Amino acid sequence: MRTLLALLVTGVFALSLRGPGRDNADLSMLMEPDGAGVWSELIDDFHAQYPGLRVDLIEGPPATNTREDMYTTSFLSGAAGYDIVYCDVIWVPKFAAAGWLLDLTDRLSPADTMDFLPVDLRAGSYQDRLYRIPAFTDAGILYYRKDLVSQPPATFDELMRLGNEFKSADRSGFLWQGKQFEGLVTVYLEVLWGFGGDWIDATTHEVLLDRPEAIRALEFLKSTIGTISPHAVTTYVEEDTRNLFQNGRSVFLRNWPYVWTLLNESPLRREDRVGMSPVVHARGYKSAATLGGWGFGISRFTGNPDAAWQLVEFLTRPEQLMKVQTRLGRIPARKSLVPPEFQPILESARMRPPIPEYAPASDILQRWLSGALTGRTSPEEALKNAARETRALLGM
Amino acid sequence: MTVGSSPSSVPTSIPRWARLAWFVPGFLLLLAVVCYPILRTIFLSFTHESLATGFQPEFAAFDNFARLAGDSRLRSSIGATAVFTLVSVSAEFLIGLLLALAANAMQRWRNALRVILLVPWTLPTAVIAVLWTWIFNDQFGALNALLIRAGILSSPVAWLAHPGTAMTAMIVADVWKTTPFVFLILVAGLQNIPHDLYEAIEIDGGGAWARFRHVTWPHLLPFVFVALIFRIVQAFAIFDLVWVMTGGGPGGSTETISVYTYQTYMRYLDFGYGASLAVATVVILAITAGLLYRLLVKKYESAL
Amino acid sequence: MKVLSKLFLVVCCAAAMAPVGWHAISSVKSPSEIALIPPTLLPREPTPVNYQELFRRRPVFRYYVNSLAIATMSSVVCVFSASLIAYRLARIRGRLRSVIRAALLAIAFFPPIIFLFPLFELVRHAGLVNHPWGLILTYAALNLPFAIWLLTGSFEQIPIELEEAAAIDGLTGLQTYRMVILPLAMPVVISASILVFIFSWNEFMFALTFMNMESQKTLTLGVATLSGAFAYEIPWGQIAAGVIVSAAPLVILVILFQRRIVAGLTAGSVK
Repeated sequence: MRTLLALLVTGVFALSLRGPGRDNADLSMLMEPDGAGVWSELIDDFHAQYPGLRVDLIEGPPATNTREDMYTTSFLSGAAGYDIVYCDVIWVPKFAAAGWLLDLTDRLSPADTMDFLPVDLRAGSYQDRLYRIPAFTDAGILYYRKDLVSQPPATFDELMRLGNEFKSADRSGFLWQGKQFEGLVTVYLEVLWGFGGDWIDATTHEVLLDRPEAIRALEFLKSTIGTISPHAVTTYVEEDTRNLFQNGRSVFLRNWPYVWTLLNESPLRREDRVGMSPVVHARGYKSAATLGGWGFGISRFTGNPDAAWQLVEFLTRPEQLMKVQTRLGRIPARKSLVPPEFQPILESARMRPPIPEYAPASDILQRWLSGALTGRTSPEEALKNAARETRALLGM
Repeated sequence: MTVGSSPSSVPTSIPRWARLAWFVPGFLLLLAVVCYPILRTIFLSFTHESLATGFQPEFAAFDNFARLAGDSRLRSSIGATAVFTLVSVSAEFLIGLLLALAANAMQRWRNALRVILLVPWTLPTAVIAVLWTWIFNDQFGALNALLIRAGILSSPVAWLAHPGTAMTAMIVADVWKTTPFVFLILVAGLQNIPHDLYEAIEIDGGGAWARFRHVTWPHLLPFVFVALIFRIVQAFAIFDLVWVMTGGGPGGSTETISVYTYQTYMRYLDFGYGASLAVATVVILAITAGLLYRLLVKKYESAL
Repeated sequence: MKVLSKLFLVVCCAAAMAPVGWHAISSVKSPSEIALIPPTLLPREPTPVNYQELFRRRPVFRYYVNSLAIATMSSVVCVFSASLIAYRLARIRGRLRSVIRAALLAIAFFPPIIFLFPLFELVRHAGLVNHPWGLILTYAALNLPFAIWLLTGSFEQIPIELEEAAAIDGLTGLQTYRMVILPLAMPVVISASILVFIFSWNEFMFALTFMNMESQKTLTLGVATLSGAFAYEIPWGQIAAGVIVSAAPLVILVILFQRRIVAGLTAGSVK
């Protein structure tokens, strides 16, 4: 009995000595969930073209925050966890400032430099060095019912007026994403910029949240709740609003370009009852859509930087990007591939503040915006507090 | 035998180092895993070390603590932690006590009872969170299905989508897991009470309530105290349940102080501020424990 | 009154078993049956497909191996170190002993978050990220105060005369410890080992931080992070299978060792 126990413990001890292996892949990549299988296909194509290399495609969770944390923990531990980073636009300053991404400025060919959208290249850069090759671009869009509204609104007042005019018992005026998450920030920023205001100055780090424009912007959003937007809008994310709009339950929808492709499945698009236009702004100011989008970066800890670059270069080629465009409706960040109907909107896209402290700053703003929209505080109080906490965060 | 010397089998002629050797493995572990981290955390709390400082420490004196004072998110996380601890521990003790009283009378099924009631406590909190997340799911969860079938609800409740109900769901999961612990401790206490004390009350004509008030409760107090301390400390530090079940949402309403501290370290990469949050957590817990000690021990001094 | 308390006991037992029972039943229902609203009670046609999918999607077998290795070694290292200290501590009198006991108690009351980040730094410097021994040493140390407390109480009960007799017989301290004390204290040593095993198996926060490679995760970590992993419809059948897969070993432990577990938990309070 004693010896059996001792043997067992020794066996377990041996097991406990097994450290992390590399699983005989040369490169590993943490991706979004690959329900449509298109990314697996692209990796298979890569294997066919570069037979010596093996890529381990790891499907991550759908929540982008969770993937960001997975990358962060992996980078913090210094091990070569993931070689390729499928990188959201807002992660670039954080990962680059931390020194976790390879500088790719000199790897990009001049031809590609001309073909990628300038704003996306800027979004993939930090302090004038390029860390992320853009793959897809995104910007906020106002979708509207062409069969109801002949001319899309250009200003907040027009949006309010038309929303009130054409809403009905089972049709809202305007749907947007009001749940407390990053999407809420993107919605608010469009209104804020439309009023001529700003959140954080990129160079001076000055916080502008308690200025009159910011308060007016939040007050406008708040004023839509219960009038042209349903009360439940403060619980909606993108998919909720898309589903409602696709089922004819709203006159206006603010959402992302992917909706346009998915609308193909609905009679609205087939009968040409839907149009899209730039997001609205205040009179005398310009429309500004929040820039989104994804790209590829390379981990500084990778053991195979050249192989990693080959994969990144491959995945961002026009042929590969087009495959994803057709299957998922994403808009490639290449001028040559942007459908004409999206071009004016993408041209007005604006970046969120490219600061390393973006994650906590966004969390602060999200919390206070949500508090004001759900009536827990007044817009002015909320933004004053948000400004104060953001200044404390940035050490101002 | 001289005063202060250890009455043991180890002869005093053995050199000091041999006697101390017994402590070495354990103390080395404690030094590395407990002492050093506590000291380093305290050190970090007086520095700015974050992404902004390139992960290099810069002396910050009391800056972090000043920032703590104005941090509304800290206040709300303390509130969430307090609500969770208060409600959860109260519910556990009430149910645990009733269970102990009921089970104490039973002799026959004691073993089966212990196995059944012990299982929830043995499961990992993180897995229990997964378990209850499904039960509380609005569309596919068993709870809504049951309540609707019983006619108590007319339409599904999105438990985890609203602040109040999300906290309730978390508390239910926690009470389910930890009541067995309280139960076991109290049963051990009940079994310690001599029977003749009960008989004395009965002779005097006292009923069940008199028995409880004059015999059971006073004797249970030390056990209640032990279980209370353990549970309050554990509930205060809760992380697993929140992280897996709600992530701190909706809207940060269920974010407890451990979760906020973890986010600050691992997501915001603000190590100095995270350390000050950790220090604040310990200080608050110490103050709470101290207050409880004054309150309870003073009150029940005679019984203890 | 008696009927009422019996009823209460039955209700509580049902409440204790029902959630796990529900997951067990549901884990063998087909995905289409799980998606039914309102849900069915018993499965129409039990199927192992949820378990198969779960084992295909995630390296569950590896999770088991990792958890087994980590929990066992944590228990061994912890109880070994603790028993050495407890043996001496049981025989020390006076102020030193109170100081040490108070210090150990204080350690046990620190919320684990205070250890997290510096430990992560240490583990990283030692190159033990994603390595089982990063967690083993952590768990062994964090459970040390509890183990020492438990074992000291038990060692104190052993009459000093036995040790004196051993000394007269010429046994060294270490031999006395091994051949006299340990066998007598074996029940409590077993209790401590099992409890530390359970605590290590169940731990989440440090596992979450130190293990980010799938193949190195513990079972608790793997199953807990399972539900965030699905984009569209969450396959609740697989989630249920995951819960059962992680619960099963612990239920077996409880059935086999419930006396020891209870003895270990209640030891300190019964003075």
